[in-house]
Parts: sequence; C-alpha cells; structure tokens
Amino acid sequence: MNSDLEKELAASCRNADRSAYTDLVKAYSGRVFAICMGMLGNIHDAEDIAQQTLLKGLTNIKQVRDNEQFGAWISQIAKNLCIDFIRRRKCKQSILRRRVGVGQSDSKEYPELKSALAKLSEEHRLALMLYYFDGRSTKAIAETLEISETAAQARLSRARKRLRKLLETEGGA
Amino acid sequence: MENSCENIQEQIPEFVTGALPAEKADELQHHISQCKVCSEYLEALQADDKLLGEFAEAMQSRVVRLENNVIEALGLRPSDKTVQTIPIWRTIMKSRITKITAAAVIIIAVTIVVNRFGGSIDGSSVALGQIMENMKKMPWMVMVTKGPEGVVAEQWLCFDREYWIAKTADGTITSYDYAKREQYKYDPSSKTVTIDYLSQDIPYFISSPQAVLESLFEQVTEQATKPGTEITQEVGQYKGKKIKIHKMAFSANELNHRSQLFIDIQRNLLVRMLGSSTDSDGKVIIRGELEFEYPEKGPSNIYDLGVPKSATVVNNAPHEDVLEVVRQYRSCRENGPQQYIAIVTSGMQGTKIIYRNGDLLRTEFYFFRDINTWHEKRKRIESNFDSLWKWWTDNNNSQLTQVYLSDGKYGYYCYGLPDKIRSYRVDKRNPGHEALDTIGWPEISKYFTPERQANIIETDYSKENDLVCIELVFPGKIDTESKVTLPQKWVYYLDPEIDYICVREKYYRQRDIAWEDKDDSWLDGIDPNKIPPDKLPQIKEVIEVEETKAGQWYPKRIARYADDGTPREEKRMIIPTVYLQTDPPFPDGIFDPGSLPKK
Repeated sequence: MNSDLEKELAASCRNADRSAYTDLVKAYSGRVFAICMGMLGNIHDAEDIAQQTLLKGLTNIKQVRDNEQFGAWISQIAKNLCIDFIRRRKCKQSILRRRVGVGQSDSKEYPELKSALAKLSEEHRLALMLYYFDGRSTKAIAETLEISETAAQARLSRARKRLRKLLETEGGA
Repeated sequence: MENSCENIQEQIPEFVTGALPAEKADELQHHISQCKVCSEYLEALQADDKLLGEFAEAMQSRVVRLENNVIEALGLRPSDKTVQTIPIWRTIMKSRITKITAAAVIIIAVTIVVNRFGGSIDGSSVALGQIMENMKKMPWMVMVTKGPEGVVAEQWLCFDREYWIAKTADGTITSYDYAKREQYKYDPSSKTVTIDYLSQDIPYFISSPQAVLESLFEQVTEQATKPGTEITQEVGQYKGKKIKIHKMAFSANELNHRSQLFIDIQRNLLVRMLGSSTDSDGKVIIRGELEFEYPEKGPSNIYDLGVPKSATVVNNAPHEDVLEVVRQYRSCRENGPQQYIAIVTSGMQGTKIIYRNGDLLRTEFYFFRDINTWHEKRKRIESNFDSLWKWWTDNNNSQLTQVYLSDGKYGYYCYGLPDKIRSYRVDKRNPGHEALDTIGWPEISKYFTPERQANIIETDYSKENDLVCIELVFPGKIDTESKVTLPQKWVYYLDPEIDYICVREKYYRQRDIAWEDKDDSWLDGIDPNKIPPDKLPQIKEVIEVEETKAGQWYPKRIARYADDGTPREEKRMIIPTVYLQTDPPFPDGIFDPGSLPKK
C-alpha cells in the first residue's frame, strides 16, 4: 500500500476517524491473514488470530508513533500473536498431533493444496501466502519479513519448488 | 544436458511470476521448446500458480468476513446493517487485472470529485449523469491513467461491441470480449497469449464496459462528505477545445485535496480528471490523472495493441462447437422472461417463492409448520401455477423464514424470521442471474476451466429427441489422506427448437465416469471407507414449456428426481417442482426494501 496514504489513514485513525478505521481494516486484512496463514498453516486458526490482530492493532493505534508505518506495526502484532498461539499449541500435545491445515472442519475445497501447504516450512508458506494474499508482489514479502526484494524473490522461488515437490509426492495435482 | 536442465529448472519459478530478466527468459523458452522434462515442469509450476491464485480468491470470502467482524466489533457500524461497500482501489488491486490500476490510489483522489459533484453540493448530479450517458454513446472510449512516472495504463472500451481491452506499462495486454465470452491475456515476460473462457463470475466493476464506467463514476468514498469544501467552476481551453472545469478543494485527514473535472462543453463529455493531495507543508502526496478520448475506431484485438504475432498462444477455452451452442443458449437465457413469479416446491421442507420484475428480485423461503398437512393438501391441489398460487395466498400454514430482496443495486438479506431477525445488505448484485438456475436455465458455462472438459456428445436420448447434448466432466481425485472425490459429470440436453431450453439436466457422481482408463481401477488399494458411494443420477427435467406473447419459450414446470429406473410418472414421492407464471400482477410493495421484516 502507498505509504503516504497509509500514514494519512493511520493519522486519521489516531484522530478516531471512523471511516479511516474501516479503510485500514480493509487495506490490511489480506496481509494480516497471509501472515497468520503462513505462520500457523491452518485456515481456522489464521482467521482467529488475524481477527485478534486487527482488533488489537486498531484499539491500540494511538501507540503508533508518527511516521512509523502502520503496516510494519500491524505485521509485528500478527507475528507476535502467532508465536504466542504456537507456543500455547505446543503445550497441548493433543492439538499438536492434529496435523495442522488438513481437513478438520475446513471446507472440502483444495484438499491437496491445503495438505501440501501444511507440510511446507513456515518460511516458505509465509512467502507464498504473502505473495498471493497481498498484491502478488515480492514487495509485501520483503516488507513483512524485513528482507530485500531479491531475497524475497529467492525465497518465493524456493517455496514454489518445494510446494511442487510436495504436491507431486503426495499424489496430488 | 542434465546439468543444463537443472539450471533451467532453477529459473522456472521466477519465470512463472514474470520476474526473470528478458534475456534469460528467452534462453529458457528456447530450452523449453526442445525439452519435454523442463516443459512439463514449467506447466506444473504454472498450474500451481493458478491453483494458489484460485485458493487465495476462494479464501477472500473469509477475509471479508474477518473484516466485517472486526468492523462490527469496533462498533463502526450497527451489526444488523453491515454495508459492504468495497472501495474501488481495493477491488481493483485484488482483481486479475491488478496492474492496469497500479495507479488505483490515484483514482480515489479523482473519484472524490465525482462524488462531490454527484452529490447535492451544486445540484449537478443530473448533469454528471448526462455526461456519463453521452460517454456511453461514443463508439470508443480510451481512458489513460497517468501517475507521477507517466502512463500507467490505457483502457479501451467499446460499449456497442461489448469489448474491453487494456495495456499496462509493463506490456501486459488483456482483452475481454463480453459477447463472445473470450478473455485474452498477453504476458510479455513469457511472450505468451492465453485464451480463456470469460466467466460470468467476475467483479462487477469489470463485468461490462458500462460497469467499468459506472464504477468510476459511482464509487462512494466516505471522505467526500467532509465539511469545508470549496467548489468553483471556470471556463478554459484544453487541447484547443473550450471546456468547463469543475474545481474542488477540501481538507481531510490532515491533507489538502484538489480535484478537477474537465468537461468538453460542445460535446458534453469528460475529457480529463485530475486529482492531488498535499500535506500541510505543500508536499504532494498523491497526484494522478485520467485522460479520456473518444476515437472513431479502436483495436479489434490484442494484436492491434502491440502483441507480437510470434507470441505463443495457449488456448484453454472449450472447443468452438461447444462455445457456439453456449452462445445461443446464453442469449436465450438472458433474454427470457423478465417478469414472473415462480413457486418452487421442495417437497419435504418448504417452499421458495421468487418474484422478479426486471432488475428487482425478491425471494422468500417458507417452512411448513406441519409437513403432513401439506402432503395431504398437495394431493388435492392441481399441478399448475394457479392452483398452487391460490392455495399459497390463502392460509397455507407455513412460516416465512428468510427473505432476499434486490433493488438492482443492493441486495438485502433477512433471515432468522420471525423471532431472531438478522439482516445485512450487500453491494451490487445481478439478481435475475441468481434466480435463473432455479427456473430452468442452469449456468452451463460457469465451470468451463481447462481441467474440466466440456464436449458436445450424442446419446440415445439426444438422438431420439433431436437435442444438443453438452457433457461436462470433472475428474475424480484422491487427496493426500486418501480421501476420494468421485468423478462428476453433468449432461445438459438443449432443445434448439424451443430457444435452447435445457429440457433435461443429468448429474452423475460415480466412480467410473472419468479417469485415465475410464474404469475404477484407480481406486485399487484405497480403504473402501474412504470411497464415497456412487450416487443415483439426479435429473432435472422440464415437463412443461410455454411461449410468451413475444414468442420466447421458457420452462413452465420443472421437476427434480433421482433416476432409479422408475419412470417419473410412477414415482410416488412428491417431486420437487418449479411452477412459473410470467407477467403476473405483483403484490403491492413486494419489491420495496422498506417493507422487509424488521426487528
């Protein structure tokens, strides 16, 4: 997202401009969902944590310092909440055994893809999700993961290759 | 050779996203044209790319739900009236033609002007509407989007031919032929033209040349109602023509916005839109420009806009025979009755009533309080619309549980009736379209994709009855957990003599429909518990047709049942049926959103 517009929106949110809140939610929902999906590998968990992230981000928006980018800030909240969630999940062995991402109460669509995504490493899944959910550019990956665009491109390529291998060996597409 | 393949395959992921430098891409293509292994690898990665894109699109509804939850939780909107207006830039950014509107942010600044003028500020909404209508009458319209770094995209619209074609700064050229339902896309990095069936399932703002223009004019931006707006009008010159300039300035969100509309006075056409936003120090934050031209002629295809003739063409569209039949069918489907009431009895649970009057649509769902009474009654009601309608409008002992109403622009959903009413409103729907499937016009082309093959076939039934038969096959699948999705097949029988009505639709979900060898050995070794049982073929059959006064045929009565070999007439169970009445008197206020059930 255009960073000037972003500043403008964040600024008006700090001034409690309601429409600006709505715009920010809509502008960042894709990225936040991508981060959560990338880190957690499970659609339902991703939805829950993404929702928590946006709520937390917007209710605490006054903490965003001037000129600090809202995108980076909300991404960090998402990452922290995901890490918390994973930690909690690790405590619960029973939940851990439930291989994330596959079937469960998810809709039946894209079973092979979801299964392969669940088996990808977090690093690779995150790159793919950011690419497809946030504007199909490596810029979103670079910004969110705080790496260069070249590194983002390389990571995306590795993720694609790995995903292909998974889809192939798992008897999918 | 092996080493070289390894190198090439390293580069394929970048090639797929168009990130590979041109000279490397050329080398790669050269190699691929001669190497089956690498060419297959490329195809696989392209398929993965498509799959991921589809997945992201499918997940979009969850993201929207998420947004609505958050907005609701923040108390930004009352929960029973969630209005889902999607800002134009966001919709555009998410579309397949993203790059066209990389400068979409700019459009916000520009559309603000339109909204202000469209509002009550200077009372010129009528004038603006007139300008838009004039634009639609032009043979061609070209819209050039310019950003700080020059031209971002040019879009050509032909309202008559229902054609849209666009070129972005990176050389991507896309065309939508709405009449032929063909979509061409040229990717300059792979020098490939891909032809696809143009689905009806595309965002509103790109669903027709009219919609492209209307979306530009209509977009409602909340910022536009900020107080303290200054509006001035002046007369000037632009490109040697006398013009009227509407200027508007207002401040919002600590920024100063200035926008201008240039109207060609003689032709009453929009020729230019400018928008800019500056901060308190006068630094320009956003600046954009749209230029409009109205040439006599435009490109007839993507090659006219610069696609090299040597580009590789990948045609994913179904065979021309199928397309031709579908074109005929679609034309009849869309031009069918526009005014009707349909009673849809589902037999077991309740009944649906559809009222349609042009762009207005209302659907009501009723549940029977006492199903046995209905079954008893039903035996005595004649199987025609009038008898059912009479019974319906008298005391029918049923409960209205859901209503959907569309006023042509917004859809209003009310459910949880009568006690736990919940309702919401959504933007832009194509109401008639939604109801067509129910009243006997299935959307045959909805599932035309490369992996789902559509073909014209002949069966005994089609030969005996002189029907055209389209078969659509979805292959079966086994997922990683060895769960099986059985192959599925739809067979549509169309009758060309009565406006291509789909007189019979048969659906199969069986193990031996479509797999490589057309047998079920692909299931060997799979846990039988994971194989869903074959389903009896489901049939939807038109059992009565009628002709309107204008001479159009339409299905009047349609029955649905499972094909277990028993003739339909002998089936004892009540068959779910659709009864249609055209040009009926509509109950008063039936399409009025104000009449919807309230809490």
